[in-house]
Amino acid sequence: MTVRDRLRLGFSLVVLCLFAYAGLEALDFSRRARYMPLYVSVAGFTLSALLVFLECWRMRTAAGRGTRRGVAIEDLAAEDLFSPEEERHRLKTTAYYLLWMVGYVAMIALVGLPVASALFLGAFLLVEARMRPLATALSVAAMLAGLLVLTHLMHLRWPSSLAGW
Amino acid sequence: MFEAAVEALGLILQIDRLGWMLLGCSVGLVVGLLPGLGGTVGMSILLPFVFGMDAYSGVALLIGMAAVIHTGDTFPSVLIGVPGSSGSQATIVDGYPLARQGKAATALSAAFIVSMAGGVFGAVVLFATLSVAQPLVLALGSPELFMLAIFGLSMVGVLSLGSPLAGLISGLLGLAIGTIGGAPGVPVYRYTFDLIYLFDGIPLPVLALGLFAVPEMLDLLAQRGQIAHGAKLTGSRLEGIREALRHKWLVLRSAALGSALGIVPGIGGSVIDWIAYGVTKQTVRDRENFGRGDIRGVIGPESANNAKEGGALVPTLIFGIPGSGTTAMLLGGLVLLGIEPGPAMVREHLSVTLSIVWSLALANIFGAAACIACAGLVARASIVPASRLVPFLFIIITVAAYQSTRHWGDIVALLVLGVLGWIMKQAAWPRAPMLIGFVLSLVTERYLHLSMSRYGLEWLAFPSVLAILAMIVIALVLGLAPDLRRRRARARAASEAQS
Repeated sequence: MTVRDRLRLGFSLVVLCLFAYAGLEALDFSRRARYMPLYVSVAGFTLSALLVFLECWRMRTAAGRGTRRGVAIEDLAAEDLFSPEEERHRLKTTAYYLLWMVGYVAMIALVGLPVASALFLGAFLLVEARMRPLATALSVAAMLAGLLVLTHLMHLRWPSSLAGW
Repeated sequence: MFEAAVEALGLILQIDRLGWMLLGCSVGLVVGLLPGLGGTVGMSILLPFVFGMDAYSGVALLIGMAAVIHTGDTFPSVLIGVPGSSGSQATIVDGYPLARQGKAATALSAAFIVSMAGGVFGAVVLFATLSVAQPLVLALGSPELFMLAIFGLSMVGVLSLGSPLAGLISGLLGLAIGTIGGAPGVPVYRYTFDLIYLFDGIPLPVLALGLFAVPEMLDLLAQRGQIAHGAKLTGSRLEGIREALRHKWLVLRSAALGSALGIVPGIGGSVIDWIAYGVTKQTVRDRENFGRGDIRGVIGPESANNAKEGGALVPTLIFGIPGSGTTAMLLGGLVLLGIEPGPAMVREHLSVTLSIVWSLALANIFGAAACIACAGLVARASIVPASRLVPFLFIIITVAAYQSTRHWGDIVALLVLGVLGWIMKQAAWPRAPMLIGFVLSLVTERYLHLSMSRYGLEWLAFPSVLAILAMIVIALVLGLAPDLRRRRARARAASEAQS
């Protein structure tokens, strides 16, 4: 079973649990508020259970038949097919970049949007894009100028921060 | 009527009014270009400026902005796979794969040409139906609106791309997410976990940005590539214009569909966009490439979303019923200009009404021309390395997402939904059906509730309801039959190879 197979099966199970929870929770709503979430949850739960069953069944039988993840290989773009090592590497790299994004959001909460954006952009361009310091500084200045102009013209609001900036 | 139309054209072509229209167009294009911001933001920027203006100039400014939102919003939809506004969601399904193939300029220029054609068609429809649309709009009640929402939901199957079961569940997940927040018609809050942010539900821009933008950015960074796979742009603006002309009947068909559905208040631009995409896919030949970069998947919805603006102005002007946030603010603007929209609008303010029609047509032409001029340059963004482009984009979408409710929950939801979207992408679960389910959740529940409380089960036998039901069945059969045939042929070939 590849990393992606596990991901697909795991996600199907999570969705199944979500529909089960949503259905049970819907029983507590008043009659008028209940029918839509209840019917959707029942349908979702039934179909998700069917999908989990089909995934398990196909994974057992599909090996060696040119199919994978319960989906025929020709249904997927070539770029979506990777070896297990590549898949593991992609997962790690994605988690790394997700941390950059979470770090940016955390910085907004601490020091405010303009400072966090300048720090995030500057650090990312220097470390990841390996841009020269002068080009990085100019990019940061251009971004800040654009942000200020748009904020002024479109009455945009910035998220609040601990520092109050 | 025609003399009045010529007179209105003369009034709108005065240099100062043309200037206001161009200013409106510029604001509309910029607002459309920024993901997550829509017509309501554009209207809120311009509304304070219409105080003291004469009616024609004010109309030129406001309509100029509203007309081109769906022209400008094609840039992010095609280049980064993020809907520029709620009405351009379907464009990403084929527009973004085209950009990945290096054909961003082709996709963009085709989209702009058909947007212009659609917008002008919408203006013609507005002109033609101003005096006859009243009975049509009055004939549509909650059962018909519910069935139209179901028509939109039926597109879930069409967009599932080889995983119909996962697509269906994805659509149901979207419907379930759409039930978060206050229930329509009853004071009950559902699945809110006592979080104030969730009381009004998850905002559409946040969901769209999270599901589509964040996963694309993460993947681009992980692959250390750029949007276009090869470092070469193969498409051109001329090719896009040629493609638009080659599919002229599709343009016309989609424009007619967009403006007809636009007349119905309360459906919303995103529903029309998905219906147009689904109908395009179902009514053309050789559709195997849909979802993987078929130019017709861009042409259909882009033509419809600009055409629907003309249709949407029909109930706004002749009944004073706004069909969307943008038209609601436009109503406010008209009142500020001393015009009261309603049944007497055509009779009492004929020249202003006709200047609205002209502004709509001219703004679409100006907007498309400006966008086509920039398309080649902007398309170059698709060959900028991801590590240089993505940090800028992430800052923009974070700021844009925060404008939805101006609550910290917007940013947290963006990240959470981004991770969800990324997992769905890796697990080959279609994400577009979830967006459709979400968009239609409130509309479906509201109109079902109204239909049941007013008619019981009788509405199920209404001729209009049965007619829409027949349309849904035909659309589903046309859409799914070739896919089933292809699967059967593949299974047969596999069993033959095995034997």
